[in-house]
Amino acid sequence: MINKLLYIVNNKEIIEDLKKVGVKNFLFPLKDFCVGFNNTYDFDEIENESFIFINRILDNESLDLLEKKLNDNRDKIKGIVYDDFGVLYLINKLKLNVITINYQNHFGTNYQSINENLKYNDSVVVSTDITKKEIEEILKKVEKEVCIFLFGLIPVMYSRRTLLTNFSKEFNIPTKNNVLIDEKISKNKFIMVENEFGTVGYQRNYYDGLELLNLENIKYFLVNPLFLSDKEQIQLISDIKNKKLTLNIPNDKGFLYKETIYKLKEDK
Amino acid sequence: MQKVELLAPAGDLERLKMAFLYGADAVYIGGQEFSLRANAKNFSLEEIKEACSYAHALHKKVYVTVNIVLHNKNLVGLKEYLKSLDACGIDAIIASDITVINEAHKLNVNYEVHLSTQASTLNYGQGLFYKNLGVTRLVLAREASKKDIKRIKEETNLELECFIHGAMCTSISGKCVLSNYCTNRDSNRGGCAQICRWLFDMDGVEEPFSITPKDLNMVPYIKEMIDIGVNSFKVEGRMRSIYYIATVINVYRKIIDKSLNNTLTTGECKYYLDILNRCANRDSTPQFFLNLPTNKEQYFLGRDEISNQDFLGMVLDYDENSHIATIEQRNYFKIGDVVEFFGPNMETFTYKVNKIKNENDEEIEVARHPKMITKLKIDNILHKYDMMRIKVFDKDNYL
Repeated sequence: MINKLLYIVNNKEIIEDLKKVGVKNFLFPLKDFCVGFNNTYDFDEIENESFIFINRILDNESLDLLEKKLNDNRDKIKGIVYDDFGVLYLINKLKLNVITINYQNHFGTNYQSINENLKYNDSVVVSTDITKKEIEEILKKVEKEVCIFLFGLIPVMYSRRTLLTNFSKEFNIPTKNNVLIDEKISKNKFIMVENEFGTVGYQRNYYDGLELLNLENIKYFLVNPLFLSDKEQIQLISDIKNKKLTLNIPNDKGFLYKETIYKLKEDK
Repeated sequence: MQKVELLAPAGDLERLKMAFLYGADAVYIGGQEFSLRANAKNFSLEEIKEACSYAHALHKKVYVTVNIVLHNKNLVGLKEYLKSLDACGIDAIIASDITVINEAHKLNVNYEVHLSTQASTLNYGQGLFYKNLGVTRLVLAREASKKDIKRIKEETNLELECFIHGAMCTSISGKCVLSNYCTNRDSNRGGCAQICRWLFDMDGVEEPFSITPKDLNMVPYIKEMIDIGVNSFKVEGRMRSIYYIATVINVYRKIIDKSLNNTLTTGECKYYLDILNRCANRDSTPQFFLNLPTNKEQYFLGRDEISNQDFLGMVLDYDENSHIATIEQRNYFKIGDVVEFFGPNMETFTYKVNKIKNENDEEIEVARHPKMITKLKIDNILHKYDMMRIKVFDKDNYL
């Protein structure tokens, strides 16, 4: 099962150690084309036969730049995980021979849409906004293997604004990144990560979906170990092997057992 | 010259009629299923049918939002609903979920499919992807710049719809589930609780703050938007009041028409902008059109979202012989107040209230009861659904 992990790289130095414990598939946030990561990587820093992650909503200028980069590095890439369908347009235009995985954040919430999407992609990442029961139904009804978010920080908002920079300007205080903010009523905490392309808010608790390891019809299990130390990441792999999270970090099971309300009248 | 459409929101039939009366070319509405703003009243199928008949008689259009991101159980009834909308005679649906887009085409419906802003389109590549799926119009992300809009038009040759006025999300539309976490209400199925307007704490910052943007207005840039190929100018706000709809649509109708015949002045722009900002009681800016917004385009400190009391009454009838206007009161007014009337078929004019009668023709000093019937003698000709508001800005001072 470890060979099915698609592991987001936040620290290149740990890759060799992760390989030793069985991790095979690394997902590199691509420099200039990702938001929500402190470390992103250009093609010359990315290992051959890796996956690249493009999670930005792209403007035209970025799409042009990406086209050039993809074309210049077409033989280096094993697969591309992307949000914006402009990326798929480029993959087809350049006739890239890569595994395409659509990760349209907060979409991928029903089997029919995933099946439609699978007509154009090798796989699709199932949303973390749905219940385990819904995920199980999706897995039964999809026509190709899909990807499941297994563990890590989940992005809950993505703004094109540089919210932290704006904040520091407004209050004339030094800019800090990776800032924790608390919503006062619900007491939810979010970690805000900014770069020049926008600000991503992550739910503070790490999502623990390790129980999903037992499910079938999975192409890859996504892991986002953002802000975990090297030691914690090695421990995480051990936990994944044992299918039980023992890491001493704030965590929860997201919406696996908590269905969101569609209309208020359902809240009775 | 290309056809330019002013597209208004309508939360119900009354607001739909008001939008058309005040100059909208098309409206977008939500049905009772599959639509964001899930907790609004929204339109039944019967009402959608009535809305289409009403609109088409005026040679205007009705678009229906089918823009939730579907969960498994929401797939049930979708086909039947899409067929029913066809039977109602709608002109288009606005959708973001690929299933909705494809189902509509499989059903060979007579209406068009427009791609919702929820799909976050900022580049031509994505536009072409959806063009291949059969969408005929892109509703661009509110983050689209002038440069991006122009290029998308050139490369896709699709109809483009852009927001020109109203509330902004902090996040790119479709990319926020703060509501899911803070309230368990699914923002991509219409449950957004506007968490970005709530208050947050942060270490080292004493005062709680919000992360909400100011509103959007494109008053100074309508002409440029027309020139770069925007086809439809969209006003946000299906939950807004008839006064808001009338005011905003009235203003943008004038701006679009004056832009098309090159008669819009800088002074008028400033005047219209003041009217619009006062109406929403929020500041507004062009946001992403020219530059990336800064701290100046956001609200940080807690502010009360209290609507003002500017809307004083709506004209129900006007007798051209006696010059008596029958007005339904909406907010307190009294003898001596200086007010103004505006409407779709007239120039806004100022009026000093010197005598008020109630529905029994008894003189009164003050109109204090909501929806009470009042009568005022006014020389200028008025029409049903013209509106009376507090006079705050004097247009002459802007010219």
